[in-house]
Amino acid sequence: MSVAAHDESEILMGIPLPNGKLAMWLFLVTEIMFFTALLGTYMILRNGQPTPSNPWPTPHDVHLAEWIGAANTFVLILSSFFVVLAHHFLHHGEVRKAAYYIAATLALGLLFLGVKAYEYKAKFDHEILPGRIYENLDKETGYRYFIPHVKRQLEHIVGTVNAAGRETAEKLHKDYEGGLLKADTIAASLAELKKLDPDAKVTLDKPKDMSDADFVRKVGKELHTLVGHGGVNEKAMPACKLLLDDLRANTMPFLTPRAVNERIVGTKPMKEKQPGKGKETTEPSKYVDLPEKSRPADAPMVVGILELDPHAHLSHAIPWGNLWASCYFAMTGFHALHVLGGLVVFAVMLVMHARGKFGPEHAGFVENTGLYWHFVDIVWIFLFPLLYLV
Amino acid sequence: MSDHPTAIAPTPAAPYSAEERGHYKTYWTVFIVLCVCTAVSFVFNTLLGQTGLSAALISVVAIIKAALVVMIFMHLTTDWKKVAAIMIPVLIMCVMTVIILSIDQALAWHAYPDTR
Repeated sequence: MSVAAHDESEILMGIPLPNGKLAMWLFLVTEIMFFTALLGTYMILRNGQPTPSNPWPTPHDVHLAEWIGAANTFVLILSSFFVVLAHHFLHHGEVRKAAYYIAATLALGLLFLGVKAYEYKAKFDHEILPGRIYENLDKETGYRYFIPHVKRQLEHIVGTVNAAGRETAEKLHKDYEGGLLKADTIAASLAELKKLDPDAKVTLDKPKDMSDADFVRKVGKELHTLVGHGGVNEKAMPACKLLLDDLRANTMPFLTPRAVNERIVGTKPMKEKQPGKGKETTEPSKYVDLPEKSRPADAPMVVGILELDPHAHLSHAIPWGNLWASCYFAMTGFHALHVLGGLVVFAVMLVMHARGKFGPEHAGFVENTGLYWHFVDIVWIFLFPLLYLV
Repeated sequence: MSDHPTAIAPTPAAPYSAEERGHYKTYWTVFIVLCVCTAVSFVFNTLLGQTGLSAALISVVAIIKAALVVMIFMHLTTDWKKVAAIMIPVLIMCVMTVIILSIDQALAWHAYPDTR
């Protein structure tokens, strides 16, 4: 019995791609859904919530600089380009050149994360974090939380001593910094300070078990709290002192949370659509509790502390700020984690090259990693306009 | 199955084929176009501010950039037929997700007309 020769043609199953490439595309497809959920939700929230009186925060409100986002976009596009070139050269056999481009991609990715970290620090410094932004100043929240919070921040900048004792405290602090304070002669100056400001927390008499040097150091620390840690420029400091004195005095007309917010932010940002109306002043405005349209045309515009010094660490009301912060950190945080994941793989490639185990046979590996990296780039291409520009 | 032959002799003097040189030129062209598009979006934002018109123009530019990266850098012009079977359902789902979420927005507008 002869065995019939089987002439089976090769049956190709599934999608005609290398396994690695198919796996990477399947993974990318799930990532598309992941980011669609995040970006889609953001678009709906952005369009659905704001009112004309409470608009969505502008990039300026939340300390976002568009040019930094544009620079980051360029960095990622360049890194995508370098990955493509790395694959191009590796496929042809120029391993060293490919490794250089992979190293450049890694460096650019690290630069992107560095810039992101700088942006995050700006948010942390201004307490622009989900749940930490004051939005509703009209109700109890404004009086109970916002005003004491601002007062604490001002005391950190300006100091806890009152206006009467400020000059004496500043002189004593200067003497302390110059090493001129002596434990035996300090008592009279401290007593004078205590007379001017009875609430000043300062130790008048040296405790029995403390050395002279330790006592001077203790008084120095107390003086430092009394005169404040600064942190604002010379233009903003008088406005900060004025606001703190007004908050302490708080006589009629009582300072409402909205009034305090206007002293911090300024009337100008709110009046940007009406340039040229009213002259500028840092004095408190008596019209501050009136709605914009009810104020006379020549009502002075309060120049806010943040306009004098944009780096001042003072909280202010940002409508929809908490929602914005949640969306911002969710979207950019997940994107940054994806960037980090890609950088780990590039680092692995460089280690392989250092060990001499990287060659043209790894062109598929580089291509698949490149597919992931391009996807990360595409997500940023959509994230950047959504968050920074639109 | 692999698209890449193993162990190409890595001689620096090996010439690039015309096709490879073409690809190289295309990559450079696309990179420059992407940079220009980024600059254009930034200029639109600076000149027009945050308006509906600037949002529409910037969105169009973003879609062009994404399309270039996907088609050229991710080689989808050559691989589309192989990948279409998994891409098309996902793209449908993306569009449907946003449409379904926008129902919530319409309900919000209906309940709070001030937000329109």
